[in-house]
Amino acid sequence: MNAPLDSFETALLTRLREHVDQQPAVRPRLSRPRLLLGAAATVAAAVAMVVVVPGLGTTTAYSVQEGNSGTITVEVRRLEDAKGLEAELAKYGVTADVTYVPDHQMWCAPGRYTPVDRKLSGMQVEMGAQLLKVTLPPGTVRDGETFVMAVFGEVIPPSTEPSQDGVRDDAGFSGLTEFDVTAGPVQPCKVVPNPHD
Amino acid sequence: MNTVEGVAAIGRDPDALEAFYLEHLEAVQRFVARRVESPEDAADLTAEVFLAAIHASRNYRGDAAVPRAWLYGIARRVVASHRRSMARTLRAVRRIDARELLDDDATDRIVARIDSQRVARGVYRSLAALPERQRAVVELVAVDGLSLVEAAAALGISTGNARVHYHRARRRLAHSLSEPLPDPFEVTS
Repeated sequence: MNAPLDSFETALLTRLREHVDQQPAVRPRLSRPRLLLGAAATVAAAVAMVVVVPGLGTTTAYSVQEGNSGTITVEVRRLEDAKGLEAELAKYGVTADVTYVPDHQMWCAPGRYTPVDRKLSGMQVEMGAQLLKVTLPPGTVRDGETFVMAVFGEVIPPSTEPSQDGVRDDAGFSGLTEFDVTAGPVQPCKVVPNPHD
Repeated sequence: MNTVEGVAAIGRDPDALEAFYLEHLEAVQRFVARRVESPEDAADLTAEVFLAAIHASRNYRGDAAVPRAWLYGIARRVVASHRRSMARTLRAVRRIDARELLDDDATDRIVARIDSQRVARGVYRSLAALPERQRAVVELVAVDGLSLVEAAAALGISTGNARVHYHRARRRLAHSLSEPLPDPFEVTS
């Protein structure tokens, strides 16, 4: 980019540099794509986001679909029936270990599994109209491997009073998720406080 | 520091982030201007795209997508989330309130950029009825000018798969677009 930055672009660069400066110098060894889905107003603004979940409570807790290309898509709408989701994924040939913790201030103590040592291209989590959408391209979870997913969060009820800037929050989901693939055993989640919270 | 190391460092090195920002800012702003009409939304989304890139950078290996395609893949997800979610709610907890950084001159520049992307924005809107994967490929190729190879890399699918999606979409849109979708570039320019 050759054109000089205008005032907005300069100010945005300053904010982004500050944001990077505030990142922990040494990150804990988390699973590969780790996505902060949201946080309540009391959480550091650096990671805060609320996801609105329309129709909450009126749909099934999860769904699993396989596309023509073999990509498996998981949609989780409520943090219920982790074992049921594991069983559903097994029908699609994916061994899974799913953990739901209804508290965004907690997470699983690290070291309960060893992530595979390869890039997991295309595996991703999205947020949006559904609570959580996980995409597993073909070959992401190979024979003998386990897809590990842990979600920490809770539904936020709609606010009854506008916040300071006059915006009233609708019901949403606040939390974070961790997911990866391992070729070895997966120990049960030992819930500990989230050190970043 | 090579390109891969440079991108991978933007989440921990402010100087690397600045170099990345200067290289890709115009592309990101044009990407956003092809999708939204409000200068305030454009400002917020520009910030959100770079924030998302910062947080995704530690997984960047460079073997799947060149930086521009990688960033466009991120930008597309950010804009899609913005459209699906309730912006008012997101605004309440936005990490950088970019619209607050706007002054009149900067707003005028964004408005001019948005005006210049009117045709592309029309194509973007016309894709709403396509299935998600077809839409994703066509967006990146016909709206943003990526090659099929780059678009496939940005979406984590094979080039052949992207080609199939593109041509299916072209057939599907044959009667609804005033101009047919262009032939896609197959290779990275």
